Amino acid sequence: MAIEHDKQIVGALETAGTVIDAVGVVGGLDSRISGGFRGAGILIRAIAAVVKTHGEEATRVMIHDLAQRPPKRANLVDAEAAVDAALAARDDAAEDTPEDA
Amino acid sequence: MRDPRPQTLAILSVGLVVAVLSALSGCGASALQVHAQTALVLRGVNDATVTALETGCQHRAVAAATNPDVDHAQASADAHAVLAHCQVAADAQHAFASALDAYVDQLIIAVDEGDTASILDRLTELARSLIPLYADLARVGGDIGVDVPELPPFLSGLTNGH
Repeated sequence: MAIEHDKQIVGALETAGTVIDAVGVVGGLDSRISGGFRGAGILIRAIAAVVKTHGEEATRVMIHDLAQRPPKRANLVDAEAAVDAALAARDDAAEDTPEDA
Repeated sequence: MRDPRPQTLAILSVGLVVAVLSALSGCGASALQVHAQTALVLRGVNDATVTALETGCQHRAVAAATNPDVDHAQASADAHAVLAHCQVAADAQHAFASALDAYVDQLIIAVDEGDTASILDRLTELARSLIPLYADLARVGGDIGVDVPELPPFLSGLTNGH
């Protein structure tokens, strides 16, 4: 019974996490930011549903899930690479301009 | 002018947090259960904040690097200034995430050793420590035009009332 509870709870949490990941990679800046917040809202609703269904048993599984998936850390490597690429492209364009003129 | 939509969404998100946890607190949840839910919600908000920071910073830094109104040297300087500010925000986010890690570690201890009064007191203390860290994250995020969800008010209620 406990194992079945665990599966259901983890399944609900994973579904919420998948939604967050999915909305985070689709669309432009606005939709990514709003998607992140919307994903958090979905997660909150998923937690509420899990707790309502499983009560105290959900607590142990939630803590286990927290232990397994630590909070994300912001990483600016992609932003730095994008800036380098943009500046390099700008350099290339500047070099091409005199030859074209 | 900053786009007001992320801020609006943040307010809606926080409103949802408050509504759900208010409902939960009326269900006779144990202190440990409320702490577990709090940590899980904060992890979700934290992860959404990471998305907002990374995406917003990249968008703004590239916009500075490709600004056609300034020369290459100025564009490079502007873009790296954006990245430097973003690193401050990232550092603040890392501090919040580390505090959240400590909170989760204490939750694990509570599961292993039982939710004694001293362990619950420690949990409340750790939850309280998240407040200024999150406020700092929201402030530095706002400084670079990246809005993050405001501190969920339920956390203040948790640390004051439980």
